[in-house]
Amino acid sequence: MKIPLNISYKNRLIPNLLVSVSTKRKFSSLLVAIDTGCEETILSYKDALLLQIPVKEMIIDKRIQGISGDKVGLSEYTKGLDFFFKKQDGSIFKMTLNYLYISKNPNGANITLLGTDFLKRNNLKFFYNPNGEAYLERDD
Amino acid sequence: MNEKQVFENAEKNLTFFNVHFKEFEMKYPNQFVAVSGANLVAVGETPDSVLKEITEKRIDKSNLLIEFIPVPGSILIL
Repeated sequence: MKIPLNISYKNRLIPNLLVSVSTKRKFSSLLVAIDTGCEETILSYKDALLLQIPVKEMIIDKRIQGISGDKVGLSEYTKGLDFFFKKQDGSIFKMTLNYLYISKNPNGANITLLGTDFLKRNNLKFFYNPNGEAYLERDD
Repeated sequence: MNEKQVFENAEKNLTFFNVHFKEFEMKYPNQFVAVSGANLVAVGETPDSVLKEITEKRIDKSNLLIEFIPVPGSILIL
């Protein structure tokens, strides 16, 4: 199974893709980035709002510190999210994430990050050639 | 609406966003834009203000792309 990725994001070389995400209450399409520099999957503040997850009321469970020194509060989300991906043949494939973090930061780029945890849990290989193609792949 | 239709709508929104991205960079740096039905439907300084406008306009949030517009030439670090 192969899931094609976009090579660039806002004219920057950042692998990304469109996904549809559903909670029990809401279904939305999000543009998400693959971030192998992050070991956790983090749903952005704006994407949490879009999915009607009450991010403002959630407590901070963890903080991350970026290379700029800025600290961002994260909340654990354990209610589960279904991610729908479009495969190379056009069919749709669902993966469920039972555990992820939500960013409490309303500022900045506000992009959801699929971290290495997502790749590991779903047995996905990540291929990125900035001069060619990019995709996620799993042996079926 | 089934999942395939959701993807088709999202892809149309993304294509519109990519085609107009340079224009958005010039007009709306450091702001958030919302695209729905392959049209720009809201602009705001925060995700909250954009979603408030979307709610007031009664736009379907399942067919919506909200993206931050970086300052032209800036480097994005995830």
